[in-house]
Amino acid sequence: MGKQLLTNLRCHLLFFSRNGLLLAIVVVLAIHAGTGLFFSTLYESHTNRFYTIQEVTGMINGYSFVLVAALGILTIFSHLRDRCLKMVFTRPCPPEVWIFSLLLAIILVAAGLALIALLTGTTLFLVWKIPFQSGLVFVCMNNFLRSVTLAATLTFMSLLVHPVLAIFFVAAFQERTLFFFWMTTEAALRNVSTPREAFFSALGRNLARFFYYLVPIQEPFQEVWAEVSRSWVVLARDWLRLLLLVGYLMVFCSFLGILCAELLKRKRLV
Amino acid sequence: MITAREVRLRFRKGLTGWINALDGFSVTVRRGDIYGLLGPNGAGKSTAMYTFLGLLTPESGSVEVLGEKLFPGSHLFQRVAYLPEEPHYHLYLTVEEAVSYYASLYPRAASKKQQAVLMETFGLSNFRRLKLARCSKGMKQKVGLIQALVNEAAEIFFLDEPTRGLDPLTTARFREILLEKNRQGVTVILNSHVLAEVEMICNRVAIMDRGKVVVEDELKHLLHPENNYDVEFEPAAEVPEWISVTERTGSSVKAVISQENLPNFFDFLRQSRLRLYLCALKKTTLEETFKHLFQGGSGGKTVAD
Repeated sequence: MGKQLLTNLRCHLLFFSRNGLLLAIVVVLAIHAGTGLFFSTLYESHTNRFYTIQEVTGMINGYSFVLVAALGILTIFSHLRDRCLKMVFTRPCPPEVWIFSLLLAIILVAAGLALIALLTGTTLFLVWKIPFQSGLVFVCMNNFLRSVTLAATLTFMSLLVHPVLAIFFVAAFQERTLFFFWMTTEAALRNVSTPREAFFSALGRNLARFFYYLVPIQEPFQEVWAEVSRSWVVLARDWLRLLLLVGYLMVFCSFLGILCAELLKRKRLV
Repeated sequence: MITAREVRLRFRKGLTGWINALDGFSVTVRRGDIYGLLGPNGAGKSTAMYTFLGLLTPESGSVEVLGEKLFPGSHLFQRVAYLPEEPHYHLYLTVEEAVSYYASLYPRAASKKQQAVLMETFGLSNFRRLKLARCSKGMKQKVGLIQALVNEAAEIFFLDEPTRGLDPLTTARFREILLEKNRQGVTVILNSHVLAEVEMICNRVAIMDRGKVVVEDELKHLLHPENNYDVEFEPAAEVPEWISVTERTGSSVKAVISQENLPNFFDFLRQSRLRLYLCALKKTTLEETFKHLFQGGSGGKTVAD
């Protein structure tokens, strides 16, 4: 099992490194980040330079988020299109091993990209002689966790529906949007005047509530951490919450991994 | 060892229609058999193989391989090797990486050195670093053969069109390896359109049409000898009417004669001072059996009709 996990992990990493679309995203990321970094060296004041570090790492994190999110969906799409998964599953290699090695490969790439953002930020702090802010580590780690959560969700969705639909569903059915819709219909239900309005408001409210409970939580502490993202000042309780988020991610990825394996077993691979 | 009983499987055609891919498909493959699954295009040969491998689930009937039902990633696959019909491999891997990857998914696989020997045997040594996406069809087929052969614990080989796109030398080499494996106790079940190849290696065959087996028998029973002889001799100005000439060229005459006329034929040659090139007991070929089943006297109708 361990040997198969490592073999598949290596194979996934080779796929990532040789996929043209992923390489194009990396090139754009490098050019954009490099250009941003070049122009930022023109600033003089420490305050501006601090914001520049936030901007540059934010940019790297943003691209990493997109790149990591694309990994799972591209792997699933490409392997199903090429119908090569039958070469894996007609060996004593269960779909669970293949899917967990994919999630592991995604985690490794996400960790690598988070490290790049962290090292870039740290280097800029050192070069510009600005006191190091622990918020940089926090933001990079948070972005790492967010991107892996999204990648796992998209991997699962791409096994359910076409990848384009998967992206659409994940973009459209976000917890915040659904919560807003739920609250809106809840308010509307209190002000209805006809039975017909009441029926449709109740229907909308129930649908919003159903999907709100159904969709996975991408960022449980988004509201709480808005200030941390802005100031890069991290309190002890924020680190504790981050630790909780790591636990959440592990449970979430394991759950989706099991669901993905079940879907792969039922998928027509020929 | 491998059994299918009354297997039925349909594929959706359009929104409302269905196609019977397997329609009461039943076969029995015994340990040590080299079993040929034959039939015209669309007869259901590959579908039958996918069903054996657990890649497709039948709507009814039962399929058992080594006494169990295979499913994706089943532990039983350590005793099975499979070559798919189409080269659906990991195209982003190089030849060497692909062979190594597929091998490492087996608990007991050929070592790196043995893999290199296999690549050498099939003429892929110089293309080890070539990505599969850039390989020719024949090269991909060779990779397919190697990835099937790397499973050292294989007791059953499922081969779907194994020699498709291969050159004659590689085909002959693969045939030798396959027969050697069979001598060691490996059971082989193969789909093929190359009937001459099936005649050379199989001991049992099933001929399929429209998802069902129409003939399942020992090959020797299908290739029964006739009471006629194929003969070839020097051209003669006149040939007696009891010699049925099939082909006449500038250098020879090919004909068929009955067993009763064999002494008369030798008398004729002696008297006419003609040299005999060939005289062999005529056997029904698999191709003739196949033609007879699917064309013979049915006015273009298939056997299922």
